[in-house]
Amino acid sequence: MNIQIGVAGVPEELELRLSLACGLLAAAQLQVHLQAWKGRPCQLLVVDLDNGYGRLACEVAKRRDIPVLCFDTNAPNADGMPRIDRHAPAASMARTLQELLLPGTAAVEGVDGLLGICLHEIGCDEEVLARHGHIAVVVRHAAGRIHARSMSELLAAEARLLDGSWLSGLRPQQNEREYEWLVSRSLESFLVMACRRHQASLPLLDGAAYRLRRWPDLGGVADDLDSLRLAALLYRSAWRMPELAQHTRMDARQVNAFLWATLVSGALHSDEAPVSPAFAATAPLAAPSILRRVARHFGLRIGHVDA
Amino acid sequence: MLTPEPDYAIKLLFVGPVGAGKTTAIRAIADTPPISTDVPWTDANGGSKQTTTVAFDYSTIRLDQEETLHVYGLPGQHHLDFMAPIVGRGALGAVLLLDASSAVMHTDCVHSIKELQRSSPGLKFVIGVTKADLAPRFSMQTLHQLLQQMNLAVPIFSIDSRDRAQVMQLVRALLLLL
Repeated sequence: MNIQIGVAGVPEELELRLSLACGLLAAAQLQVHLQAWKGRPCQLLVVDLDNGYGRLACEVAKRRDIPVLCFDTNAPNADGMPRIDRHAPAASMARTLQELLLPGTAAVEGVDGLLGICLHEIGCDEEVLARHGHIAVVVRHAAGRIHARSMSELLAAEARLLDGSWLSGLRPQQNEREYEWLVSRSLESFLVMACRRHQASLPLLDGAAYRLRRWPDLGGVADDLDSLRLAALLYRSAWRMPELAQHTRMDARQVNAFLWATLVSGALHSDEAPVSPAFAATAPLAAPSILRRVARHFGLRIGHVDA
Repeated sequence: MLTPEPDYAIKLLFVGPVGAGKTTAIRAIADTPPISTDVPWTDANGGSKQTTTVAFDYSTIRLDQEETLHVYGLPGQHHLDFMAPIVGRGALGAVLLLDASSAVMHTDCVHSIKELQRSSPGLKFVIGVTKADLAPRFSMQTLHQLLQQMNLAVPIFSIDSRDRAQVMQLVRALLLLL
């Protein structure tokens, strides 16, 4: 998509940073052309309200119904126009611009960053290229895979899961050979590990009851018995987060992180009829002793309340 | 070596098409290297797999002083399907392994499931997809849809059959179904 952005009264240093931000929008398939505004129609006008020409341009643009983004040192925002901190880094500016030009693509329903992008792209058959600085990952929801140039890049993406500076865009179908140069892992395993890592920062999903519509792909989180237990319980019946945490005696934040990971992968959905904890506690029948012994060998406790 | 009594032995089955990684997965989790009936694979395409199993793999996992879990890998060739009901009688459950890089993965999946249902009705199973990292065309969504069409809802994990921890995780998922 080609976008024309006009600039009025913006100092050279700010314009340079704005130009960098516009370059970053290429990751969201936005080809942005930045130019000094001379009264012509454009998709967005960026003005500096500390500058006389900027204020004049802002008034003219408002009369012509041209969207305006303001650099302003004065905190009050009485006119309701979107504003941006003049000290913001280019990545942050890019995110604000993307939100104005493509509303809803940068932050979704309470979560930002790569997690928000994945949440927004649930059910998308296209590939999504997400970028954060030098980090680039390709999210393929339908395939259930996430790709990057190296495992360390995937780890870096995991570390920046909720960082607001991620930019994304649909990626045209690639030649299969391109994937030969990329590493990949299960998207659900990636999300489970990443959400666990950021569990303290995730909003609590403590309102609705949730249930898994299918088992998530947990092959890649091989040492994580807790996720397996949660998956088994959530697949059997719907649970509210606090009750599930209490039932499994896990930390509520950990349970919440698992809910987020599976919600974002598309495996979890909200369910209006949660199971009562009393029923769930008695649901697993006493397992035969042979099964219990096999389970014990594999690190599970079967026939008890937690599986 | 003593041959276990088929009706009383605790058995775990690994099933799936040729090249899916059954022998490798058994090797990863068993206490002893599997007793295999591998022969040179005449259809080998120059990859790392140069042999194939023509009867079955067998190995054991010691549970405690008294009990042993017997692990069987059934051959992938269709003309050896007759062995499944014989070996699989009384099994706890099965792990179905599929090769994501195979062009006929979906056909293999349907065939293996139908064969399992025919030979051991009611047997619980899980699916492990191997080589997903080598298969750009692989789609987990398509596999879930395929099972949905068969009215099945089983765990599907993408795994590396060489990785003991990942194979263990798949078996754990199976145990949670029982």
